[in-house]
Order: sequence, then C-alpha cells, then structure tokens
Amino acid sequence: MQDNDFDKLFSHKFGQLPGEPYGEEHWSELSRRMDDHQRRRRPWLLLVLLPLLGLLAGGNVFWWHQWREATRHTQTSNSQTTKIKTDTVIHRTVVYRYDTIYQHSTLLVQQQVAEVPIAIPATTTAEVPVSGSSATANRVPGGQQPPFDSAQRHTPAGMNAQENALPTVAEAIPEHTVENSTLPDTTAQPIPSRPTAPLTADTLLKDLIQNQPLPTKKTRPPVLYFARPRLGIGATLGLPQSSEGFIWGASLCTDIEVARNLRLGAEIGYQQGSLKSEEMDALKKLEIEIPEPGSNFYLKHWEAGSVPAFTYALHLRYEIPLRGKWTPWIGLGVQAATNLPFDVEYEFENETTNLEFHASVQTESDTHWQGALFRLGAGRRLNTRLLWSAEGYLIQNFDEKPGLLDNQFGLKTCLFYTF
Amino acid sequence: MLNKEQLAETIRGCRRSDRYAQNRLYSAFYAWGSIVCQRYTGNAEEARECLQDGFFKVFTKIDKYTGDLPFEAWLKRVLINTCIDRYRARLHETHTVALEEAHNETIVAEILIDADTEHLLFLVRQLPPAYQATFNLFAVEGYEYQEIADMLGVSIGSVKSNLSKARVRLKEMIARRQKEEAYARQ
Repeated sequence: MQDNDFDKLFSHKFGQLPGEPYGEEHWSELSRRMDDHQRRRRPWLLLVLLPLLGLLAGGNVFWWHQWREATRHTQTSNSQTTKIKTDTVIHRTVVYRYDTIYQHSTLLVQQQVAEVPIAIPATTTAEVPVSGSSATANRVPGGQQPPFDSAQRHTPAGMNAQENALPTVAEAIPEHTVENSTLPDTTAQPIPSRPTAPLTADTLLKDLIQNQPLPTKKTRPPVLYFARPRLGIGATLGLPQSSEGFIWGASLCTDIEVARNLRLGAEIGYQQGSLKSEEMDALKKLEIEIPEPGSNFYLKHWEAGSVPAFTYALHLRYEIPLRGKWTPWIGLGVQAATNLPFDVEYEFENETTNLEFHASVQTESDTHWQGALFRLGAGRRLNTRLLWSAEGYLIQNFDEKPGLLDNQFGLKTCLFYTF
Repeated sequence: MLNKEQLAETIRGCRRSDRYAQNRLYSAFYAWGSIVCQRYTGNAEEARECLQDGFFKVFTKIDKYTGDLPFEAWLKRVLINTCIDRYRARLHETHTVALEEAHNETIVAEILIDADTEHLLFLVRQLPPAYQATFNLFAVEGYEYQEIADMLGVSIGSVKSNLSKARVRLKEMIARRQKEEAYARQ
C-alpha cells in the first residue's frame, strides 16, 4: 500500500468525522472570557485618561501659581512706583517750593527784626532755579542786602514771635541765596497762614502737598479679565429621558471669573448609567445590530446594566449678586461625551409559544456632542476659600437621533476651592 | 453554515466586537472547528479547550484577517496553530519506533477501508504530538513539507522523518488491532 493511498484513506475517513454540536454553555464560557478580556483592557483606557486629568489639574495649579506670582509682582511694582512718585514729587516740590518758602521766610524775618540786617554770607552765590519765574538767577553783589522798602514789609496774620524766631536764612539753608527783594510776583503773594504749626519748610511742604490737588487718574476695570479661579469636585445623579434607569457620576470642575459676576467653566466627568427600555428609539444613535429572532418574536425589553461614559462640558455661569452667603446663578453651556463600550441585553418573546430569546450586543466607543447644557443653582460660601454649589441641570440634544445618555436631567453638587 | 454575504456581515460585526455577530460565527463554525481540533489533540476535552482558545484568538485577532484567503482557511489555520501551540514544547521530542514486523500492506488497506472513523481518530491520537501534527498537516490538510516545517518550527528533514514514522506507527497499530480482533474471534 502506497503512502499516498494510506494518507488519502485517512483524509477521506477524517472528512466523515462528526463535529461536536454547538452548545450554549460553550458560548457562555467563551463570552465570559471575552468580557474578562475586555475588562482587562479598560485599565489601559484609564491609564490614558488619568494623565489627561492630571494635566488638567496640574495646568490649573500652574496657571494659579503664575497668576499669583503676577499679582504679587504687580503689587510690588505698584508700591515701588508709589515710592518713586513720592520721591519725585518731594524732590520736585522741594526744589521749587523750598526756595519760594525760603523767600517768604526771609521777608518775615526782615520785618520782625526791622533794622537788624540779616547776616548773609558773602559766599552764598548759589543760583535759585525757580520754575515758571522770571527770577532765575539773582545774585547779591558783594554780599550786601538791599534795604527793604515799606511796600515789601508786611506781616502775615497769625505770625507769632516763635515763628519770627526762625533761624536766619543763612543758618537754615546756607547754600541758598536770599532772593532779590525786587521779585515782583512771589513777594506780593499772601503767605498761607498756619498759626499753630511752626513755620518750617517741612510743614509748609506738607501743607502745600495736602492743599495741592494731586492728579488722580480714574481707571475703569476691563470688561473681560481672568480672576479668582476655582477647582472643585462634583457628584451627579441624573435621570435619562429616553429610557428608564438612573445615571450617577463624578466630575472634576474648574471655572474662572471672566467678567463681573460671569464665570467661564470647564468640567470633565465620568458617568455610569443603568438603563432599561421597551423601545428601540433610544438605541438609534448607537447603530448597533438589533437581533431579529423572527417575525413571531417581539421585544420585551432591552437593558444595559452599565453604560460608562466620559463627559466634557464648557459653560458660562452668571452669578446673581446678592447679599448673604448664598449666591444663585444660572448657566448655559455645551457638553460632549465619550461612550465606552457596553453590553446591551435584548429579551424577545414569541407571541405564540411564549419562548424567550436572549441576545447580547456590545456597542462601540464613540465621542459626540451631547447637546446644550442648561443649569440653575446656588452656591454657598463656607469660608474664604471653600464654596459649595448645588444645581439642577438639563442636557438637551436637539438631534433627531439623540444618544442614550444625551437627554437627561438631574442634580449636581460641587465643592470648589477658590485660589 | 452562512452564505457569503452573511459571512461578510458577520465578520464585520465581529470586527466591531459585536457579541451577537460573534455568537453567530461561533455557532456556525463550532462543529466544523471541533473536527479540526479533534485531529490535533489527545482527547475530546483537549479538543474542546483548543477550540475555545482558537475562537478566542479569532475574535481578538480578527482585525488581522485581511480577506486574502477564504475565511474557513484562515480559521482552520488559527485553530491548527492553537492546537500546535498547546503541544509545541513536546514537538521536538524524539521517539523511537521499533519496527517489529513487516505488515501485510493489503491487509492494512482492507482494515483501513472498513475501519470506523472514531477508531482511526483514536489511533491517530495515540501518536506522539510531533507525529500526530505532521501526519495531520501532510496527509489530511495537504500542506507542503516546507509549510509544515515553518508551522512546527522544525527542519524539512524532521518533517519527513516524523511523517514516515507516523505512518509506520499507524500501520503497526492497525495490524496489531487486526491481530487482536482475529484472536478474539477464535
């Protein structure tokens, strides 16, 4: 017997081998194994998403740090600027006013001491720059002081003897020279009376500074700005509109003040739903295969025990300013969601035989806009940093085929930390 | 079995990890796949385990099916590889076959023609894994020496040697069985 014939005989015989019949228990075993396999794959999804969440939180903290540094820097700059301005003002005023005051002081001394000449050093020949005055450089030739005439002699009201006992000009400011008495403008001006305070250069300077209206620049806050960022954690309990069941979730929320009483916020969350319905409409968006067991079978219900999804929301919140700890607000935004794969269990029943047919279909992951987000809530300030917020929300998808979790309403609470 | 359109649709569903499509594919090819696995395993329980492992690979690696060859061929290849992997560690074991006596080839052929399929399967399962795999791949599946060598990770010489020894062992077992039956009839 040739080997080929031997082989062919075996091949022919093996072709007649009866196969093992399909058993539901074998499929159940394999199905469970597939479920385990997919569950083991999901941590990879978390490994991808967790760094994203970390980046979001880290970015927020980094931004807050930068913002705080910038605020501190601005405050420091402002204080420095003030000092510089003060110095500048003082410096400028000293040079200008000092001499003017000094001139008036000289006149007073001259009147009180009458015929007593003021000892003026012959060497005092410094120039007195007087801004806005014609007397810019008046010298006393040979150190002699020309006699004062009667027109130049006047005593200001309230000037007492103590004031008259002012040191001589040369003692007070030796570097400066007494101005010429013929100066027309400054000598004719009345000296501001200050009866109680000693008439010194410093007090007069203060007086002048106080009396002189300092230029104040009115500033208007910008319409849009970024201030007081907040970071918080939240919890959600929702009800789907297209099916029975409930949705719960947790979220990481953040917002920032962008205008007066207006906040721009973002939120990333994880939702888990347990849904059940007798209608197929809610499953239209999923585009999953719907089993067709036969014309005699009708759908009793479908059920999805675990519908996981990640949600991403962007919203504006207007806080109604009220006195007290409670601050009501209204919000408007949009929300998107990434539905993770989940199993939909169908249960059909034969009308005539009452035989039940079960089938399980797994959906695919997809990301889509969930719709508009309407929010109404109130916040209560717990302390300077913490704020607790509670709200009712409504997500409405205006598409003809809304997703399973798209149209929902519920309650949400969030605890914020204000930076 | 599924027709061509149904099969294509089912495969598309399996690519989406659609559990309903997977169930349809599994139920359609379960019996056929069990025949393949029976030839490469030692008993029915091992065959079932290999079949489950094979379908698990099919569902998790179905993206690698490009459609270049018929799905049945790809599925068979996956199932055979799964069975071979199970015994891969033992594929390189060497076995000595004592050629006890010359067989009457005519008698062997007659026995073979009349033999029960289950009995032949039993005989093949008595072979060492390397012989069993080589004989199945060459005699039943029709693979070339080189393909078998690649699949088993052995040389072509080893394939030829194992194939020859497998035939000798089978003929020997058939002859022994014939003797035992003759003795029992007496």
